[in-house]
Amino acid sequence: MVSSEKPPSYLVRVMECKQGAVRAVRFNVDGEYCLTCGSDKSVKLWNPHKGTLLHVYAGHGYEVLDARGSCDNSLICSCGMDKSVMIWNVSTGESMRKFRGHAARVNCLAFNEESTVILSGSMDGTVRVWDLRSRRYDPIQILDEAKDSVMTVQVSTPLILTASLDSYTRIYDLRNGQLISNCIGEGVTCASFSGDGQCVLTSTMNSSLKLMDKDTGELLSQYSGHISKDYKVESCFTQSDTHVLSGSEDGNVYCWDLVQSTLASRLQHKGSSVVHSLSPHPSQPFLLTASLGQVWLWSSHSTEDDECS
Amino acid sequence: MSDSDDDEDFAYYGTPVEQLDEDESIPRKAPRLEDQIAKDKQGRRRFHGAFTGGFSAGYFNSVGTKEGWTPSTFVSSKGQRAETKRVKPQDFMDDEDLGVFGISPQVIQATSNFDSNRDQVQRKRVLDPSGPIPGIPVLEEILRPASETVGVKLLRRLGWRPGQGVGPRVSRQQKRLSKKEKKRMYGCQGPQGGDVGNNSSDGDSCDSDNNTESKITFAPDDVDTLLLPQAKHNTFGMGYIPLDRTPVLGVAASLLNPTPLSFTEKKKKVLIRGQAFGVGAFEDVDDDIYATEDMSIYDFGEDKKQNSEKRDKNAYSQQDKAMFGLTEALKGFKLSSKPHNCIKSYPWPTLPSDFIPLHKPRRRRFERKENELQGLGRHDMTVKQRARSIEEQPKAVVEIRSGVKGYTPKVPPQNVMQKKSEKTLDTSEVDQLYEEFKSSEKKLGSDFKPFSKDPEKQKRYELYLRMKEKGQKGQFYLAQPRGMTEWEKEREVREFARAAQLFQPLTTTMATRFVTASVSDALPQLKDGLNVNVPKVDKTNAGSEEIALLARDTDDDQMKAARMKMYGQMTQTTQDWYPDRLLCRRFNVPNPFPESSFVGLRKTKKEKFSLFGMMNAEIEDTAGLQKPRHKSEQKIDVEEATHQEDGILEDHPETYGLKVPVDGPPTMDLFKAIFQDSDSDTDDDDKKTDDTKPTHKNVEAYHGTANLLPQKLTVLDENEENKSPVTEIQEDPVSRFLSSIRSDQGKQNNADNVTEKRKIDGRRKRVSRFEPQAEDGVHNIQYPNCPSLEPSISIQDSSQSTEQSNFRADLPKPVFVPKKKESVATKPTPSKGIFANVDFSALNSLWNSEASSSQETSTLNNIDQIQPKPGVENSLAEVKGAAHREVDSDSSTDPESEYGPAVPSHLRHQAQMVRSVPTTSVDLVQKLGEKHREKLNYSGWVEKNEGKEKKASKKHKHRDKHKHKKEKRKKEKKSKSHKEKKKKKKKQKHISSSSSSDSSPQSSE
Repeated sequence: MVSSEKPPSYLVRVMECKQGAVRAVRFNVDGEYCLTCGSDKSVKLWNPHKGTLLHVYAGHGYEVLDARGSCDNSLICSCGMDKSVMIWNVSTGESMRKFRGHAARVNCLAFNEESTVILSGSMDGTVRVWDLRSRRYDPIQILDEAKDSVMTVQVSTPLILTASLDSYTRIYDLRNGQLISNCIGEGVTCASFSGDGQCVLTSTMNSSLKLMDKDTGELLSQYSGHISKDYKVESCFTQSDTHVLSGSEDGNVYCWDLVQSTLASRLQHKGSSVVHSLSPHPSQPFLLTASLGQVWLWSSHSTEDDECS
Repeated sequence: MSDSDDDEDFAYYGTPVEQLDEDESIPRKAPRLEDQIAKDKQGRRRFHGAFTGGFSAGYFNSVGTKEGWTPSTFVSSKGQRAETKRVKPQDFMDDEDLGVFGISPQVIQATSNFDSNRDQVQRKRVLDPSGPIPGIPVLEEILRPASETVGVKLLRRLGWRPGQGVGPRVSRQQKRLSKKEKKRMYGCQGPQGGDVGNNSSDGDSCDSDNNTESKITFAPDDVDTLLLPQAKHNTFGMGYIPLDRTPVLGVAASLLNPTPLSFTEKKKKVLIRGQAFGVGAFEDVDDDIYATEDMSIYDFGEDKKQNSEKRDKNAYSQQDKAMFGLTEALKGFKLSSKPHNCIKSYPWPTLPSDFIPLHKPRRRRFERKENELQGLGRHDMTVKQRARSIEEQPKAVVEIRSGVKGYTPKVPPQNVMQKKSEKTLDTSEVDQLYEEFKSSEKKLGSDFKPFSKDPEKQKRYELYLRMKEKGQKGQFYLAQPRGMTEWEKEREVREFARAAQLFQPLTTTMATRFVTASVSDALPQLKDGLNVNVPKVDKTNAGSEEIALLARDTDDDQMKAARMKMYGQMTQTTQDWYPDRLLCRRFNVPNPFPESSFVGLRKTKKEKFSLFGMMNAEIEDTAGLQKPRHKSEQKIDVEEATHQEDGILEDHPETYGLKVPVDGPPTMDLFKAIFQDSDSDTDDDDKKTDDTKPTHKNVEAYHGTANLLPQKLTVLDENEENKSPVTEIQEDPVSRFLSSIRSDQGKQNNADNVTEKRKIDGRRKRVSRFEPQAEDGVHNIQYPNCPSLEPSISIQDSSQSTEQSNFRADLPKPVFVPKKKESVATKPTPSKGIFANVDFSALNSLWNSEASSSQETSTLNNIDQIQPKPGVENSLAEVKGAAHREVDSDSSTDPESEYGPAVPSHLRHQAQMVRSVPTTSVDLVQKLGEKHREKLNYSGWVEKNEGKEKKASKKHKHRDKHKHKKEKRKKEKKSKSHKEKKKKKKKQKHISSSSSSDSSPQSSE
């Protein structure tokens, strides 16, 4: 069933972040703002719809690899190659806490739904769960089942989804106390739940994008055309789950119809070679992509429509 | 006036004596010496004390004033800094001391600048080399302060100028004359001579000028200063030069000092000069009294002689020649004056007797010995040593071996030790607690005993670990002895916590990263090393090895499957995972394991493969009487009941064993299943799984689905429970459930069964926790202990009678049977959203067909291939009759068009399905076929059924592979004793179970 929802295909804005390479770009919880993680050790808070820089959070010791905003927009959590996870006060810009414990660089982050817990996945093969309510500085739990670098952590409330380079995706079911691990066959660079939580989209290193059933681990669909071999290229669903998006190492973002797995569109990023980070707007058809030092905002409506509205 | 004139004429010298008053009586006597006392200005006695040498100081021998001396206080403020005071000696002196006669008379003195003694100045310069140019300033050499004697001063007053002579002024003529005189004269007669000369030369030198110049007078020439050789400083007699030792270089050759005496003293050549002896006053011998007797003329023995020899070269050479016996030289030659210097040769040094010609490098302080490098020393110890040191039986290694090899450890040594220690120690409370917590019998953090020196402490530590395991660390203080202070208790707890952290089993950190080769992961309790309860695994070496082998390949197989895009059951594993309870709270999720404080993943065997390995191992020797492999589940209570369970399971042989060969000649299909090329077989099977069974749980992961099996089985039992043995080997839980069900029906009233039932009840309860809530209703109804099975059936739709018949047919046969959509009782999490209406399987199949042609064929011919393949079900089908066959045929009649990728057609079918579900006829259901089973429509009920069959098919797939292995191993290892024993056991089991299994096929027939 193909919905009439159009994938984001119009370029709205390109923002030069001026923070070295942008390692990741993330919408905040309501999609009003976005965070960019720079290789110059800073996290920047933007209003992507206006293209304005709001704040710079500096304090990491090395490149920042991922950042997330909490559900109440009061906190920003970032992680990076300095093996630490930092919590920032959004308004004051000061770092509130710093969690140390990972043995290698921290690749990815996720808040839980209430932002009481942070999950951080690291190259040391562990996901550490840090408590924000208490003043503990040691993790609540360490999910060390992965045998290689953990690339993605996602939370969908009773479930924690991790993807690691040992070619497994793992779903930790908190309610049932189960760990469901699925072998994908290649190092998984990105995995994400679909909007309805029934499917898992996995990007692997051999340029393939697979839609898997969450429960059975069966292959539902496969998307190809993009290139993902060397980098941590992210993929995502559109907010309405009609399309599947993936970055590519040829400077495009590929957009497939989810059901028919046909290539719907290609978002060309002129002048950039690798588009590695994607962030779909949580509710509206916007898409943020990051190539080298730039962040691109895409919309499903043309800019004229936006201006009219 | 005359008087005054007279007075004026007198010259007065000195001070006049004061006039005496007439009233005063003049003392007649001069005061005695004792009475003469020195007094100060105030009339106080100045000297007093011992021998009147001491003098008084200050105020009545106190200090300073009447009030005494107040010490100065150090005061320093911001505005007024305290200055460093330099205290002079005068500060401590009285006025008297400063007077003329005091210690420090304040008289006018020439300052050091004008002091002739320049040493002080020089010293100052040295002390203060602040100038840019080092050394004494040049100007200071030149400009010297005037130091005039009084005589010179007086002379100046009298008009004398330096350079002039003293005396009346003379005319020029006279002066000229005196100069001439000087030339002739010598010595000190100058002045007189000058006068004389003046007189004589006056006339001839200046005649004409005399008149004018005679009035001008000149100062006489200065007298030449007498050249005195040296002032006399010493107290020796006149002319005596004392002995003076000077080093050789210090000798200044002078005429006055003839050759000094030279000799060496302490290897230094020293010259002594001077006169040694004076001339005695009474000596007459002295001929020349003025002759200076020099030291050098005296003979000082050998040295002197050499000295003299040197002085007399000829004599020396002569002597030398004589010494060498050379008195004459050849004609034309001359004897050399120099002695012949031959090359000196030295003998080799003699080696000391204890010398070892081996170089030992010096060991540095910070270098560590090799054995030190190994760490704390505990690694050096063998197991026995270590065990001895901690006074227990060596356990870890032995137990591992025993676990593998199959002989059972008699008693868990850990327990023995504990009991022993409990007996010896009479800290009753601790024991009590210990007992309490020992029952949990979890593996401790490690087998390393950090407090083995103090057994009581070690015990407390273990208790602590157990409490920690249970999450009741708070109670630990109860176990601590009363004698301890709070501080000590706290400290101990902290110490334990640290130790527990420090000696965490290696497995948690490292073992996840590596696969151990020798000790198989499959053995569930070996993971921590502290392996207490090794289950009585009656397995042969071969079997366990196979398991290990397979376990190692787990990842590979999964990877292979993933590469072949056979996602699903092949690539999925489900394990129990224990979330931290705080994590659950943070996620607002109830803790799935509320009574366990274990966190993480229990590292158990790789279940999937150990299962198959086990099955294959047993197929050979027991012909289907497979000894079940228990412990597949991670439930804690199940683990507790392990031993009990073992016994029970052994008593109940696998009723799903290979019955076909027993009953009659094996069908061709069986051989096919065994010996056929596994590729096509597996491909087909896997394809089936891919295409048709979207919702497979892992075979052994029964958490969510285990309770569904009994349901299925009850259905089976109702009509054809006897058929169950015909099916392929199933996993333990299945058999357990079967047997339990059988026992429920009262066909077998063994005590074993009763216990088993009880156990299963417990299991059921546990399982239900993992069950999604939605299934509770179904679950309750299908509870295996239900007295009557009718409700479980009656709950089904009336239209499902055909379904039931299908299931009856399905269960025993390992064939794939299409999933029954109609059997949907409840769906825990029906898929919503966009996928609700999408047939993924169909899409998937499309994709797969595109991907590989070979797979495509298998996919398309799925049913056709399946049907003839496994012979078992064929035979069964015959046995079972028409209904069953109908099902098969129906499933095979699936139109190929149904696989079409076109979404609209699927949707149409789905719509049909949805509509037709309540009133489905068999035909319709089977027409729809498995391709249209949608994820959201399956029921756990049916799913489980499929899962079981999947198992069966999988077994087919694996069997041949393992069979070969098995045979090989059999040949290699002829450990007959074990196997025979085992076989016997199994036969017994078989016999015991045969009552049920034998009867079942007959009854079915």
